[in-house]
Parts: sequence; C-alpha cells; structure tokens
Amino acid sequence: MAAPRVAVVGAGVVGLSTALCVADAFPACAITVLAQRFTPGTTSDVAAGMLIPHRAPETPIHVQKRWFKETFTYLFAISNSTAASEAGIHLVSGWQVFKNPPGEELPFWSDIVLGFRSMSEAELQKFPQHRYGQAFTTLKCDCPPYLLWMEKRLKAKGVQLHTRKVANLWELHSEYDIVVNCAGIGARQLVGDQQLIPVRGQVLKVHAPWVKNFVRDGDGLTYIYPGINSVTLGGTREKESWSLSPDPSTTKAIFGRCCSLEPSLRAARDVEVKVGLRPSRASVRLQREAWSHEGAKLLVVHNYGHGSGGFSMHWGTAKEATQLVGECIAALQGSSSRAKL
Amino acid sequence: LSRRLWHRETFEHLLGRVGSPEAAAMGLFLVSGYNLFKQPVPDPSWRDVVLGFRNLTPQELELFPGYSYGWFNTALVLEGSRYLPWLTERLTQRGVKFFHERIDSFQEVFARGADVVVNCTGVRAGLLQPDPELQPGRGQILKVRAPWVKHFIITHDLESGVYNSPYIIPGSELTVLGGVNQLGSWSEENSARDRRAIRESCCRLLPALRAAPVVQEWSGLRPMRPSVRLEREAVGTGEVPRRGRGAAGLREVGEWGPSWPSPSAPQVIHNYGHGGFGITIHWGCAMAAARLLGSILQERQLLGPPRARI
Repeated sequence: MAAPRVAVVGAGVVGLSTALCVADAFPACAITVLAQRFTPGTTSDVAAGMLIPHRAPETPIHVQKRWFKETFTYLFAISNSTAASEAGIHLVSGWQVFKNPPGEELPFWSDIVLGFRSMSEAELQKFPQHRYGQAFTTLKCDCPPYLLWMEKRLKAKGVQLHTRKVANLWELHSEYDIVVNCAGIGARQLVGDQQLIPVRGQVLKVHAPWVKNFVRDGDGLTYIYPGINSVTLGGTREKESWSLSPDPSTTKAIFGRCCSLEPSLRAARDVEVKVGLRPSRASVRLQREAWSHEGAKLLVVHNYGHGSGGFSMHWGTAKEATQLVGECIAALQGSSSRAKL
Repeated sequence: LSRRLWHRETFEHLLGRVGSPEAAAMGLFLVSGYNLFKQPVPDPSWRDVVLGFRNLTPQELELFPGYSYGWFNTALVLEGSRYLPWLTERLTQRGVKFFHERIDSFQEVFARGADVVVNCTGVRAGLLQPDPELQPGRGQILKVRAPWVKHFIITHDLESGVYNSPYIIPGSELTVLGGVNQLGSWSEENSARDRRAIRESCCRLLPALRAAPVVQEWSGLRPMRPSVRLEREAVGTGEVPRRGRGAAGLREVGEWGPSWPSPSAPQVIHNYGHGGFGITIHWGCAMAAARLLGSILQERQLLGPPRARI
C-alpha cells in the first residue's frame, strides 16, 4: 500500500516532538505538520520550559513518572552534546521554597532530577519569608531555540511544515490517512472538548543575566527561571480566562513578587510581557479514534491537554502517541490487505 | 588558619550584599556548580562557608567522563570588571584621591607626606622590596559567548597543580574558560598553544562550548606566595627591615635602640601575595589590614609627639 499520509496538527512542543517521534519510528510515512502558529507564536514560546512536573489530577502517578523520566533522559543527553546550545537545552540549579510545609516530603520526580535534597538553614536564610525548601538541578528548554531545532530536524527528515488554520479535523480526510491532534488549547474548538480549559499565564521576560539559579515558590505562582537570553518571571494561573492581552497591574504584581524572592531583579531591564493559555485537562488525552462518514475514513490520534506539564512530559507523550499511530498504521495495512482479496 | 577566616569573612560579607539593589552593579551574584576530581578527596576547609555543599551523585558524574568524584555547591561570583569601578566610585564619593603613577620606593611615598603606606602591589611587590617567596603564576583565559552555561565547572588535577586544569565560570555576560598556572612566567602575551589547550579541554568538559564564539582573551599574573603577606613593618629609618615577623613587631617603650625601629618610624602594611584566590579572601584581608592600621594609629596617639627626656 502507499506510504501512510500523516498530518500532525499543532506546532508547539507537543506537535513537533510527536512529529519527530513518528518520523523516526515510521520513516516510510509522509508526514506534514499543519499549524496556525509556528514558533515564536505558540503557547510553548511563552513557557519557560522548565522540567518541573505538575501533578495532573487524573493521570496515574506511575505514568506521569514514566513520561517525565523519558523526557528528562532524552533532554539530558542533548544537553550534554554539541547540539545543546542550538537546541536551547541546558541544566539549571536552584531552589523551590515553601512558606507552609510542602504537601509531600518527596515529590514523585525527586529521584529523576539531579541532586534533590532539602535546603540547609544557611540557604533558607536567603528567603526570609519561607521556611522550607528543596534544592535540585533540572533542565530547561528555551523557546524559540528548542522548537526551531525540532523544525530543522523535521525538515531534514523530509517532513513538511505548513501554516494552515484547520477548522475541523475531518476536512483533512481526503489528503491524509492519519491525523495526530496536538492542537493544545486549540483542541477546545477543533474537537469540541469541553473538559479542556485554558489556564491563563502571564509572564515577564527580562534581561538579568547575572541570575544563574532558579527560584520557585512552592505555590507555583511565583517563579524566576533563568534562560539563555532572558529570565522568565512568573506568573499567574487564571482558570477559564481566554484573554491573551497582557495586564499591566499583573505585570507589576509579578515583578514585585519576584523581586521579593530575588532583590537583584530590581536592576533587570528590557521587560517583555507575554501571555499563554495552558491547555489544561484532568489528564492528557492520549487516545485513538477511527472516524468514518459516507464511506470515507480518518484515523485520529489525540495528544493534547498537557496543562502546565507540556515540557515536562512531552517526549513521553510523544512516544505514546507514536505507538498509537503505529496501531493506526497497522489498521490501515490490515484493511488494505483485506481490500486486495 | 587566617586564610580560612578571611575566606569566611569575605563570603559572609558578600552574601549579605548579594540581595541588595547594588549587587548587579557590583558584579556580584550567586552561582552553583561542580568541582571535579579523578579520585575521592577529603572535604575542603570551606565546605561550611559556601551554600549547600554536597558530594556529586553518580548521575551527575555521568556528565563528566574521566572524573569519578566531586562536589556541588553554591558560591559567589564577583566580577572584577564591575567590582573595581564600583569600589572606585564608592571611594571617590568618600573623598579618596587616585593617582595613576609609578612608585619606585616606599620612601618616595613617605616623602610626599604619607604617615602609613598600605602595600597592595600584588605580583610586582618585589620591585618595592625584594621578596624571594613571591613569584608570578601566569594564567590565560578565554571569554566566550555561551549564555546557556549556568554552572561553574572546576576540575582538579592533583598532579598538574592548582589552576592548571580546565575550568569554566559563567560571568554576567560572558563565560570564562581557563586554566593554566605557569609558575615563574612573566609573560602577559596570549599564547596560541595555551588557547588551544584551554579550548580543547573545556570543550571536552562541555561539548556545547564548541559552538561558543571567543570574544576576548587575556593573560595575567597571579601573585603566588606560600602564604599571603599580611603584616606591618617599620621602614625608612635606615635599619634593615625584619622579615618574617608577625603583625605585632613592636617593642615596649624604653627598649628602643639602634636595632629596634621606633613606633613613630614610617610604617608599611603589606597586603599582597594572594595567588589565585584574591577575590575569594579580599575582604577578610582588607579588614585585617585595617585593624593593623588601627593599631598603628592607636600607638601614635598614645605616644603623642616625641618629647625630650630630662
């Protein structure tokens, strides 16, 4: 049968990494990435790309742990290679500090990041308003570099990338056999998933190159993440807010909160304000479906709803989505051989 | 050990400043990183001075093939290129005057009216007073643009000696690659051979550095000495100055004779010979030198102006 035609919808961290995994696993496929927005215009570009997982409420812990570990291991190898600077992946150490006792002694990811331990009294003195803390080293994926690097690798493998607004997945049924839906927050409209809600995040990207360590308040609302060319200051978690416009009073509040964690930030300059809508769901939708209508068929694999955990989980979910694509290919081959009889 | 005390004093002084609005202007910031060894070593004396000192995990050591043991800790960077101008401005605000001149002797300075001279002439202190224990330790560094490097990495080779093994230290704008430590060399010319060796060895440590463009290169002379010379000395009365005395060096009133310098004799406070760790201990040393100055001033007050004995 002819090479399966695969469309990946969405060009954020999930879409591009899924396309890469599929291209590597099934080199015979003709793959196209379709997206309304490519870097630097995706939700992923707003994120700091820190590998610090969030607990998705309905995904079993062992699955989250597996996805995080696969992602961390994969990125760790890149960070340690000559490709690291182009890919935008680097190690960063720092502290997660708590005003109140953390919910759990050891988060599920503590043995995956490097050197996880409780902060010493001397270290905590730097954070007079906080009483507990964890120190560790993890990875950061800077965007746009990471997305650009994936786009480059995709093109080298013959994957096509097209800007296109897909109104519904069915419109692709005549051009493609399999569609992988990595549309992130766009899936709400694209497939009408009411369980997917935006959680609005506003961040500041500032020039403060002397900040070499990350600091995160355990409540998840205030964080300082040093990237390659800017430091990301955050943030907000506004459920069900669809607004993509920066809010000036929020900007002031974020800056104030971050300066109390890291006073040297007062000297920061070139403040850029960005907003992203985290595609939040009780669990990532990783599922395949077979659609048919009046004799036409379309196989669909969903891989969206990563919320705050896109970067932390992306490689693990890309691999799982790739397995589902494999099942779709097998189904196609099965039905085509049946058709030959 | 004084050096340990000076290190602690310096670290704590700077740690108290790292959260201030002045920190960025001072070139002062916290940085975490790795000290790497090829075999297990005892913990350093400064393990409780720095923050979060611990041994490296096996997972971390995977990052550094060829090294089987190491430490992780959070320390401070104080960039000289920012700190010196910042200090200069603070001093200028206090009325301190600066003269860009060559000094050939302590006498020349006393002749101009100085009561006390503080000798911080570093590697060239021997030109003012011969010191066979002082010698240059030539270093060369490359500054590259590698803003993704957020950790320091300092390797140790117990055979090559201190500072003679690759190190990578992220600055606020550029990342510094080193290290060589050539004892006895006075050359401040950049050596192509050293450049290659430094680049090669650092890229082996951090492969991503191969993509980093070299922006600056520089050679300097560490003022190497078995110990820092931090002591006072009476000079300029014609007597041969004593060497090797401690900070006291003052005889009791009434015991003066031709071989004992008098307390009203011109005094030099030596503060040089900090090797490759000047920044690391500078504040503790400065305070010690200031205390020596305090003693001198106190003695002179007690003595009053010289009176003839009846």
